[in-house]
Amino acid sequence: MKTALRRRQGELSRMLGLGQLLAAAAALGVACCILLAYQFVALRRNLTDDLTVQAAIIADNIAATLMFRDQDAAHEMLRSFRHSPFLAAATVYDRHDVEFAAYRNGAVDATPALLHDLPLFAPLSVARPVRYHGMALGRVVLTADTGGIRGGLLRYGALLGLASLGALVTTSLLTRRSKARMRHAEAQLKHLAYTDTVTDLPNRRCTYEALELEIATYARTDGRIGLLLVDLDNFKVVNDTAGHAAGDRLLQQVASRLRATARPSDHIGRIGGDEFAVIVAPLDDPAELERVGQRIVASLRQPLQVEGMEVMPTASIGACVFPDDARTMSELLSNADAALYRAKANGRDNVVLFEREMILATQRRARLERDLRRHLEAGLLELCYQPQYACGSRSMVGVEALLRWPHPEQGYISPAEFIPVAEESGLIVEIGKWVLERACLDAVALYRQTGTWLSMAVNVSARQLRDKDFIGIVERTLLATGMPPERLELELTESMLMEDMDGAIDFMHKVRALGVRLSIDDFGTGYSSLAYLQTFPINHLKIDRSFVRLLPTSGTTIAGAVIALAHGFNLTVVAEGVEEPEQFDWLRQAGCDYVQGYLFARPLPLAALRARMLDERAPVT
Amino acid sequence: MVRVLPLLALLSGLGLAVSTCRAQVDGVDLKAAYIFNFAMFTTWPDAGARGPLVVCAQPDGPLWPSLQALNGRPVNGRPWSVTDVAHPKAAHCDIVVLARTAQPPALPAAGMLVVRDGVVRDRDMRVGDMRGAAITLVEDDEHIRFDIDTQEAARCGLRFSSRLLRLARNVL
Repeated sequence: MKTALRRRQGELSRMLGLGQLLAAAAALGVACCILLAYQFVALRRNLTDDLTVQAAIIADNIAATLMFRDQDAAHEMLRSFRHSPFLAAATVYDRHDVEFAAYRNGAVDATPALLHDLPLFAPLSVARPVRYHGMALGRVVLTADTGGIRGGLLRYGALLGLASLGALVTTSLLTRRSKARMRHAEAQLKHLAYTDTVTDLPNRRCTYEALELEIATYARTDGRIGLLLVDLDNFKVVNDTAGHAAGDRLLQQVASRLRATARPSDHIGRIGGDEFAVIVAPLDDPAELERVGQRIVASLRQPLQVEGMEVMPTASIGACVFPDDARTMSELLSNADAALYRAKANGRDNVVLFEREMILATQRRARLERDLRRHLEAGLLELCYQPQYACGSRSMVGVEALLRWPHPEQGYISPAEFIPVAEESGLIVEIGKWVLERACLDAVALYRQTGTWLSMAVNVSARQLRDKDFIGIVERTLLATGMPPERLELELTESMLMEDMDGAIDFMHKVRALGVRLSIDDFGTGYSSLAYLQTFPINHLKIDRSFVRLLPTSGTTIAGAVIALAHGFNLTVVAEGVEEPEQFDWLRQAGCDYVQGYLFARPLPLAALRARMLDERAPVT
Repeated sequence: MVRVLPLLALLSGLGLAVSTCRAQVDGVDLKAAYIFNFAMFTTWPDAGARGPLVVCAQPDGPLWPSLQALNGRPVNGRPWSVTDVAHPKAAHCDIVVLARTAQPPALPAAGMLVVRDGVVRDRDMRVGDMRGAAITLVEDDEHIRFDIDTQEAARCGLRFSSRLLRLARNVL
């Protein structure tokens, strides 16, 4: 069917070309006719003019012979026009129209009989009176043959024909060349439209079309195909830290690894910035899909050299099978996406096969996002505060603001569930803004009510950090709420700082310039680079609760090292998640500055916090 | 002697009164018409003259009646006026028509066109016979022809049109 269509297109194109040529020929034909008509008129006019001049000459010279009736002289005079190429006959009549002298030129070709009857080619005649000193003596009649006009027209026509033919040949050649060029350009455009220029793999559009075709093919034969969505875990970090060129190199190497790992019959395409799709077709056994996915994960786990840097391009893969898991392309894609989401949630660098419940999870996420947006606008979100205590005085010195979402139907929803949703949807920016403002307002209110300033720690998300206006938001919030900058502490995580090192450092310097303090949350769980402790203008380190939980029986090495390290850099240390007195004792002895945890206080609503502050202040005052 | 048809045609060409009858017409009319035509192709020294063109002839000569018949006809704006050559005014002749045997004036005056008539095709005629006449009419094979003596004409200050010279039998 495709071939037939192509043939038809080819015929159509040829016919179109022929049509254009015919149109050009017709146009030239019309032009030639007009030029020929003009030439005919011009030639006839010239002939008439020449004939008139000759008639005038004869009339002038014949006067005397006419007066003296010298017919011999008259004949002789007329005969002198025998060299005229067109003069067929010259006749002199006297005053009474009696022929006086005549001359017939036999050398002039008579007009062919075919043309003779045509009025256009009828012989031309010009008459001129013969006068001498005002005396009318007779007249001269000259007749010219139009053979010259015919010959001239034939020659002109032949020239026009040749010129037109030349023009047509040239046009045809030029058209053919421009058409070839256009076809080439179209092919290039098509290539660009269907190919990813970085990896030379089929692009999103091409991959989706291939997927659709495969689905259509295998739906007829009751066969299976598998779809793997491969998402690079750390592409953004490479792109941001080493530059786009390095990112492109990484993508190219990943593409070649995918090609090497996938089966020859599989389609591989790049469908997003760091997202690839592998269409595994045919798929005889659904388990085969996971094996292909695992092979890809394993191959990508091998370090790559990108711009002199060693990169481990791990990938998360979501897998979905047609028709077992999905019957349409969009369903297949969205289910594979759900599986990919789960793979990322499971800690990345793995393959997750789609399961039905993932749809429910996806739907729940969608519902959460919708509700979160609505509840944020309705002011249903709450803050509670986790008090922080000084290890030495055991007095409350600050609080960490924690977001709570009391869902009217589902009760409190865990931040671990809704924060990722908020980050993905971008709602986190609005939420973060609200939290900052609320926390500052509450801190100021607490001061007014208790006379004590608490340090207010607010968590910042990676998304907020990328927001260019965030520093402005902080500044405006401080101004609007009357919060002293030195009482505000922004908590950042290691991982978000690593995403965009330069941007993060820039932000930190600006925030510190405002007087706001900074702390690194969850220190020790991620990169824990010693270098950045020196680079980043931070005030506090927080020891992650996972280390504190092990104290004092184990984990003392890490906790002790973090404390020593922080103090070495003139940073204060906050231990979070302190629940046992033994843990506190160890931390205090190890020199930890502040602690927070259930041992001292659970997160408190504002009113409870105020009450507690007043309670704790009472013995002092 | 002289063909009739050319005569008729000639008369018609000159715009003269022409009889359409086929009656025999004397050759003298034709000669008179020739003399009239000579005047048409001649430029006199006094080109601006507007007075009558005085044609002097002998009243007893054969051409007298035919010349008389042309009286009043304009020649380049001047009326044709025939007069007796023996008349006292003959000294002012513009054209002098001499009979075959007549002697030309001893010394033709300036501006005087002398036409000698009637030398019948004369194989024995010598150049000397023409002396004194600028134009000599000759009857040649039933045709009237003429010879022109340009030197004689130049002596009298006359100029002939080249068209006239082209039609002459001999030009001296």
